[in-house]
Amino acid sequence: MVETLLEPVYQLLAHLPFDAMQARFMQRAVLEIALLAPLCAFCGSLVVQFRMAFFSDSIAHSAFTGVALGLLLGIDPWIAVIIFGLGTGMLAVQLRRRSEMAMDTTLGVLFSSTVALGLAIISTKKGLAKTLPGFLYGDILSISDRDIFLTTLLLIGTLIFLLRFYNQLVYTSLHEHLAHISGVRTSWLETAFAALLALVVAFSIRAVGILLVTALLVIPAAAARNFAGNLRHQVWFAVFIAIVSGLAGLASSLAWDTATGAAMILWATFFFLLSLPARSLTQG
Amino acid sequence: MKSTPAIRLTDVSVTIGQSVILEKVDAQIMRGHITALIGPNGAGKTTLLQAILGLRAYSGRIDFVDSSGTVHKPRIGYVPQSLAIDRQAAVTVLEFFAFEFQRRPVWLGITGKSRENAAMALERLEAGHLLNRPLGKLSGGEMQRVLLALALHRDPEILFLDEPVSGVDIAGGHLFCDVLESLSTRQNRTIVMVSHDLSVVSQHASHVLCLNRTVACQGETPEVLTSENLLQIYGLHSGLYEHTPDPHQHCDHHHAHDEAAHG
Repeated sequence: MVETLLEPVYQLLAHLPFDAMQARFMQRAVLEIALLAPLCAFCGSLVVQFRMAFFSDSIAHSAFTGVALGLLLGIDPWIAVIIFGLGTGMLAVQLRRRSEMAMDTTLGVLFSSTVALGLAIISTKKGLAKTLPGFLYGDILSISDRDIFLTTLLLIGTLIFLLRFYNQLVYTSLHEHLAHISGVRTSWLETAFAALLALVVAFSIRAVGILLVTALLVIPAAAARNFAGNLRHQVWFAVFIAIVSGLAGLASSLAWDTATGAAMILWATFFFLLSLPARSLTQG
Repeated sequence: MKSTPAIRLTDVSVTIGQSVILEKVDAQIMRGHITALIGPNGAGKTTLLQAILGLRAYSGRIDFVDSSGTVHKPRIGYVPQSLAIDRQAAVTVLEFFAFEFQRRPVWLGITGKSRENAAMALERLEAGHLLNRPLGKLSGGEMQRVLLALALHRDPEILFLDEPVSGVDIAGGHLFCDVLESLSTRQNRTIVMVSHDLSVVSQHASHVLCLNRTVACQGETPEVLTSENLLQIYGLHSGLYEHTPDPHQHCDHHHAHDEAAHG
């Protein structure tokens, strides 16, 4: 069913003038990048604004426990990663609200404890450890049609959410009380964005792995911020940098036989380095 | 004309965890005047402001009343001390106003109406030139003008300011002073400002509410800012002195400096 829906897109991608594009796994990889890159870029601009890089890193590392529990309970590990990532994100938001601990301390505790729990579970069963590298480094070349379908749904949902709430989210990041007084439901909005971010992180692990997922969110947005003179340009530059980095990373990983996720992040880093001198020109 | 209260605080207490931050605060904020909330660090000034603004849970009653004494919900303006923004942030002043004026996300562009409203609001404070500047690049005074312009756009009946001239340059302070005076005297608006700066309070506030976990004293500024009261509140020898007015000073008041900080 999903494959039938995606078939016309694959046919279109097969017309690209590259031999590699005849392979179905390459068509899927290109499509996944085209979906995931804008998703991460839109959310990344808010992650940078809210200073939530450590939050996304904590969600990503909670995947250790998600994978372990999935394997232990006989659930698809990717589904377990998504559910556990979402749960960890909501727990972090609640802990921050209900305790007087600083956010980075709360996240530090969550980060370490979820990694420790995941490793403890994995170490009890021989053979489970073999599955870890796929989650640590990601593998966009093994993306399935179902993954692409789910990423499409997530992108559509994210765009609908951001069309309605993007301004309010940035307003809240600038001054929560000011936003609240002007009628923004700040608590609800922060929780909703944390949930969305947890989903985006969990989905992105498939492409770049636990170790690099935060980079996929943060680096294009940070580079775009240096190129841009306003928020509008920052968002679109981030989308452009994320897509170009993704596709260039895919191409160069094939040429040099390296991990695709790592190549994508290295390209994004290249753009970030380029942006550093641009910052002084655009922002004085 | 006899002044009537705009806000009535009755038995207001705030407890955070095990700590009692405010205890049985009974006070009135008078309509059409500038009232300053003062007190030493940890006295509960900002907490009280947050409680009045509905940002913090409290026990007791906080009533907004109109000139006939009826409880109502007034239009409120709020000027925070600053925004959580770093110097590299790309958000411009225009985009900041757009967050308030339009639902369409700024990455799809600013509507003509938003641009017009933002320009008009800034022009009122002679800050039209700041429209396309990044927020992170504004000086303290420029930021306060932007925040005040946004607050005034809502035509507030009551304006709340949190440390309004902290980190503001002298020219910005003068402009701020002019606007606040105009708002309270000519437009009969009620202004409540938190300040630790007694010189600002003595220049701009007509009424003072001294807090030290509860109300230490309240009333008109000259009656409240006495050496005895300051000694009681701050625990140090404190006083105000006047010096020759600055010819460039726009306000009608004399300069006054607090000695509280110096002991």
